[in-house]
Amino acid sequence: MKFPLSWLRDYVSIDCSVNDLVDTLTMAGLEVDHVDTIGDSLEGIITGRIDSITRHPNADKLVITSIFDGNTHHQIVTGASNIKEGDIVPVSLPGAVLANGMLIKSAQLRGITSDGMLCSEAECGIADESSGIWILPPDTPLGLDFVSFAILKDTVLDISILPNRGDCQSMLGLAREIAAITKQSFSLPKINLNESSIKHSYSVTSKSELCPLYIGRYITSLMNGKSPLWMQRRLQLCGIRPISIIVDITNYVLLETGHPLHAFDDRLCYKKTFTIEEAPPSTSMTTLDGQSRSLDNQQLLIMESNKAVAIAGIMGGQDTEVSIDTSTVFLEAAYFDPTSIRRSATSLGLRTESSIRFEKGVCIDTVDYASQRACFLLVEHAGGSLSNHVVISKQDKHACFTQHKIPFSFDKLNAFLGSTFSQKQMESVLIPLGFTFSKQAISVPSWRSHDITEWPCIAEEVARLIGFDRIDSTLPQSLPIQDKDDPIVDLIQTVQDFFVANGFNEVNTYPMISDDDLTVMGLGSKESWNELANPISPQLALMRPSLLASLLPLIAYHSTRQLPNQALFEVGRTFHKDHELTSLGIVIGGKLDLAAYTPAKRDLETDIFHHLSHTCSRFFQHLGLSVTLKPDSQHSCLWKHPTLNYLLYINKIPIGSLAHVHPTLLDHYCIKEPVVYMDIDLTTLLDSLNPSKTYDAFSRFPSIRRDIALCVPDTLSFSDIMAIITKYKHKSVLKTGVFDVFESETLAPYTRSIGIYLIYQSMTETLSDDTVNVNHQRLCDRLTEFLPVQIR
Amino acid sequence: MIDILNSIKSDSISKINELDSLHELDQLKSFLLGKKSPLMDVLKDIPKIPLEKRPVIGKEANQLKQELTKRLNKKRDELINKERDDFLNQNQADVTLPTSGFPSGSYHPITIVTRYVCSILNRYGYAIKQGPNIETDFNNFEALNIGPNHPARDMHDTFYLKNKTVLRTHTSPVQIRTMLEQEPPIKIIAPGKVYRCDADTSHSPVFHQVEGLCVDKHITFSDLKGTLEAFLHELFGDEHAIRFRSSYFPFTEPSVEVDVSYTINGKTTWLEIMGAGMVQRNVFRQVSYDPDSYTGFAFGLGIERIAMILYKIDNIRLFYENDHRFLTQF
Repeated sequence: MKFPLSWLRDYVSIDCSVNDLVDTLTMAGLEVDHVDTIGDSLEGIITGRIDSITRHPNADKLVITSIFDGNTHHQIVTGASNIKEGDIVPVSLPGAVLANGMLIKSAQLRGITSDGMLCSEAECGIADESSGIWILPPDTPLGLDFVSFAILKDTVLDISILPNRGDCQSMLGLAREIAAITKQSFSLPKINLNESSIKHSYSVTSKSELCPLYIGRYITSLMNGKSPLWMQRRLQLCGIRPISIIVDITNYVLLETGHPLHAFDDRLCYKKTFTIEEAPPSTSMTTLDGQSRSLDNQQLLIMESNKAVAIAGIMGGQDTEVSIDTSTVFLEAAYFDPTSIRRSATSLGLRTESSIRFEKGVCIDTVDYASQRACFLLVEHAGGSLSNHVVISKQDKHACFTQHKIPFSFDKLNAFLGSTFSQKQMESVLIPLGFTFSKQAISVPSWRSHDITEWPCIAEEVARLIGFDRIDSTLPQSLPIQDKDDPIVDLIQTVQDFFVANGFNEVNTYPMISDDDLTVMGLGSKESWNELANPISPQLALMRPSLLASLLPLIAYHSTRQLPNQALFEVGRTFHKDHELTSLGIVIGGKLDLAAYTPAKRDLETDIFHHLSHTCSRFFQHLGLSVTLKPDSQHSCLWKHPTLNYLLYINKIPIGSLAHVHPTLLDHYCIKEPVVYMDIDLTTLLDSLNPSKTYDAFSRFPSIRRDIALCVPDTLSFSDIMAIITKYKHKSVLKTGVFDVFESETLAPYTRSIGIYLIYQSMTETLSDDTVNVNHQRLCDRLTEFLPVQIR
Repeated sequence: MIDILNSIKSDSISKINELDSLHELDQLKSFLLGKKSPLMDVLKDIPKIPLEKRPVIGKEANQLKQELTKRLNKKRDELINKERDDFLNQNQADVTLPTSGFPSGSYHPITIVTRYVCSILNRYGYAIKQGPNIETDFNNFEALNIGPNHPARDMHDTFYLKNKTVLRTHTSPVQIRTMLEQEPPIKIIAPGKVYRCDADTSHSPVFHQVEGLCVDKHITFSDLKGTLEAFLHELFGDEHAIRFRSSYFPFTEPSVEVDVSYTINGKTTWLEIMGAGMVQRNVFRQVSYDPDSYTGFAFGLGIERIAMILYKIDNIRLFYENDHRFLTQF
């Protein structure tokens, strides 16, 4: 909210510099976002009357004016066309400085002397641009210091008022706070109500607890028109557009007291019987902004007999709107329940200057003051006559009217804050804030009743005004041994460390993806996942069920930036219908970044699938687990290559998948290079980790190696051969492996040669060649028996 | 005889010194110490000399034999080393060629800073807890004293899911989850992703926070102050001043913003680093803790903000763009 310093100064004296004030407020929780210095360079602008306008002899577009400042006449040449004789305008004489910093001097304009300039609103610094000279109201005095008269120079503080400080959403509220913080006195503007016995037939009844107080006043003989310049300027400085004096006064009082008011045009209120109630079924009305709104029991309404005339605390209706020829108004000042206003405003999607104040809680004691203040201004500046017949609906027993008392002791505050403030010190900050003390209790000033509910709130007041820097720094005493970390934390770190050490760059992506991503990846329809109700874009419309949708776009991103070779991983959440998983996603695009310059190494670069499955095996080895990679015969997912893919298992539990990404999907993302992708479900993996590891005894006897060279048809996979070896090998086989694979014309067509070695070793003795030979031959026989292979 | 031995000695030593191949060494060895060598001749002739001189001559001859053997062995070692050196020096591989192979990977800066923050607080005894990103309205708002029509809901631009759950707007729901599960004392931190639907150039709809909570009997505001001062001094360095400024959060009372003084381009300013406060009594009531028995403090900070300060990163979007040229700098 914007606070012009000149306005605040009406109620509190501010001795310190603006910077000091900004610091003081900021430290006390009233954060100053911005300080706007307005009309800083303006100097010496006065008011003057145009007594004559004559043609310029040498220029068609210029005229010569004679300006009277109350004492003397000045000859000023101007190009303005919106002026006439008798107009009162701002005048800058030689020596004056305009808002843009321009110094005014006497000048010759086409041979005629011009002793100054007539000013526009832009030149006075109150508008960005303006089309002509600023014509002032006809009753503006002549020759006065226009800069201060029109409040052209001011400092405006823009303060974020926190939700608990509704009491500071007004000039008086902030001035009262400043007075308390800086130990200055604070004064309310004086009101001298001049009431007369004017009769009217208004009546008001609140049928809802949500409106415990409603005060209506009746003012006649108003002359609606423009409000005084100072009032217009104050409204403008606070960002409100002046409209007419009746509206301006309600807005002015709103800014001044923080209390929203509403004026009904008497001519348009036919029945004059007001009730306040929740909207009856199928009610609708057109609000001041011209919108037709259908209402329900979410909203509290002001009804005139059976017709809605205003949405309580939010906006009035168009049917009873004040217009320029309004002369009699019924002025509403009321208290509405903050929660109800918030609910009502939210359900209508309508936020107004009025609703933002009611929902943070206005002070019930200010209701009548604000009403009186507005009436005073209407009488004073709009020529109104105020009726002494005030219409009041008040629920005397409503909780709002009881003063809050909080059980309290100074010792408790010190014990809570860890401070050693004296009672006197604490009283010296609490009393200026409006607190009063009684036995074992403290009474809360009415304007803070929404905010201050328990004794820690008092501690906050004490701490923020004496200063947080006056409290010691200590560490919590005697806490026992630390709680356990969430077990996934350690696994995540291990994963990150492993993949970083193995050349992968970690990424961090948004977990939201698009509907389209799901479709192209074949991950099902959006209804089966977690859809956002209010996404910020269709690209971020639902929570990802797989990291692939987050990682593939990164390959595409780099591919179009001449960086096609990427090895990336992310540990992130994936979202399923009723649970979340921590997942690991790894993607390699293009070639491996091996900086290869020999043919042998270049061969390695392109083998990304092999590299990823190798890394995968090593990863599980690193965790002390053995992973089984099985071809995904179902190849149920659209994103996977039909044959180059695996499912990963730990102890027969599926844990992830590894595959070449299907070229059709790559086309969709405009990726030209091959991409392999692996994902591992870390949440499930965590359950497979076995922390209780035991030692296995190992053989210290010499080992013997035997090789088998097999001619294998292409249709047979290595895993088929290994399955037989695993099943039939002798128990003394310690280790097996491949040492050679080749295809050659010397072999039969569609076959290859696979060389396999076996290491034989006994736990109890040195094996003899003969023993090994017998066992090895038995295995060879099994291989040829069960598989279409030949031993070479 | 002595003269003969002396002559053999000087002659042999000079021959040994002149050797420059192992092959020659083998030949010389049999020439000097073989059966037909001059020294052997001397030894064979010993029985012919007078008895009283035999011990002297015998001793001299044996000493010479030992010395020549020692010198030959030493020469052998020298020649072997020389030969290996010659062989090694012939290897002219270009060691200045660049290495090839997989380069090291990199941690995302969010990970680095989260680990950094957590490792400091972990040492102060805070255990790391995690919670879901999709939260109930109760855990994200209501239990934190932000009722359905609380104005503080404006401070949170919330993403809702179609089933009325929310994407957590802060890591504070982990506080609630932990307190619902455990009795005090509690000392936890909760790092993780949070979501707000107010993306612009300085905001991201997804960002990261670390939340801290300490609950026990007799926890004071001064404990909050001491803990955060120690933490921030460790994070940024002792030379940075720290101030506590009054603020408002529905779930703490008193609430503060914590600022750290920082010099950027020669100008010292206060940077808003974290929010903190004493746990609101209504929060304790929501998790069935007795607010008259326990007090506590909570704090939260934004990881991106810390990373941007530490690494002088000027645009929050760099974190999620994941550009190779950005990632590989960490």
